[in-house]
Amino acid sequence: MPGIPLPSWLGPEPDEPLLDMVLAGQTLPGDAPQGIVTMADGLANLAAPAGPGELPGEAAALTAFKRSVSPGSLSAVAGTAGTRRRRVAAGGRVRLAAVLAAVGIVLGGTAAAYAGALPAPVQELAHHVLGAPAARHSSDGHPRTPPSHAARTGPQPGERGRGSLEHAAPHGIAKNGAKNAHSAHPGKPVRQRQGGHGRNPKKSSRLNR
Amino acid sequence: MLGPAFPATLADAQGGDELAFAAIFRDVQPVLLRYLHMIAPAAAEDVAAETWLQVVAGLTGFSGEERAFRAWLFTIARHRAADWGRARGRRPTVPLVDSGAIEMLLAPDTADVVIERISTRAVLSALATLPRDQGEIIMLRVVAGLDAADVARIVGKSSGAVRVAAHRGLRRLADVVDRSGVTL
Repeated sequence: MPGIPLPSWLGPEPDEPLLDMVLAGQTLPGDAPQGIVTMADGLANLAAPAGPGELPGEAAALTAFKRSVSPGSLSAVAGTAGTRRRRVAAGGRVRLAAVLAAVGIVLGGTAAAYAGALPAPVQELAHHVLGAPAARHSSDGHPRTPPSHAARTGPQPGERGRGSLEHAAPHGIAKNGAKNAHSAHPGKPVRQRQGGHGRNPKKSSRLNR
Repeated sequence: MLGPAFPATLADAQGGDELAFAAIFRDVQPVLLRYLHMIAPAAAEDVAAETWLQVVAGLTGFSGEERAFRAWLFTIARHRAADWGRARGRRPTVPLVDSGAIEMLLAPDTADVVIERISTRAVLSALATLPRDQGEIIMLRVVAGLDAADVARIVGKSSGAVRVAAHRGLRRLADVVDRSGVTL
């Protein structure tokens, strides 16, 4: 009510505007009490730039910063959006590579099955599943290694050059190849070669039937 | 504070520019240490180091202006200081006004010591005579450059309570200065 003075504790303190100016870092008026001016100057000193020896830890902070921005340091910034994006991209690449590898294996395996180049048990399986040619069998009833495989395993280790030529030329040179195969591999493939006498392995297998 | 240069400096730092990050560090570290010397005096540098590690980890995700950056950084610092205090079984603080320590500070010999230190250490010593919440609020308002709303969020009080505590602390500080004749 007008005319009735309020007790001081209900109203604003007379120094409040000055104190707000101190808190805001503003310049105080010239008639401000000396104690407040001195205090304001001292507080301003606290907000001053770094003095000598007031930057300890800079090297450690910079090292941490360098690690966080280097490409290989995922752990330093784990949980950030950038890291998550990189992880998602890497996961996508792995999945794509796996799919491509699986497609390659399926296509390559199918082609090998129709070419009759698979090991006999696998060739038999491909015959039943894919309708590829059946595995050829030797006269003793055992599945026979495909001819191309036998030709590849024929040459002696020291005669690889000639062996490759033998494989490329079905006649003539194949004679040496059969001889080499006999000495190196006394097993079933060699016996078929003996029956063929250096002929084309495919042809000799037909003769053995 | 970096002022108008802050947005570009922050963007450069977020892009990996070391010089930009160093500029921010050199601007904030002194006031951060002065603040931590008040709330965690025995481990100010360790707590500051932990604070910067957390700032670095979250720097790319931060967006805002300079005062918001400081508010974020000082919030981290306060939490790390609290962790440090819990880990070491911090002793409970006793307001100096109740313990008679102010009278001890105003004793002639103590006042003489304070008068001799015309430096930031003298200001910190005077601030250390205040109740902890008042000293911390004054530091955050005046030294860190935060407004009452930011400080209120950091210390978990209302803006009005922050303002009242700041005024009380400043009055007490001015009284100490007046009565002791200290020249800060």
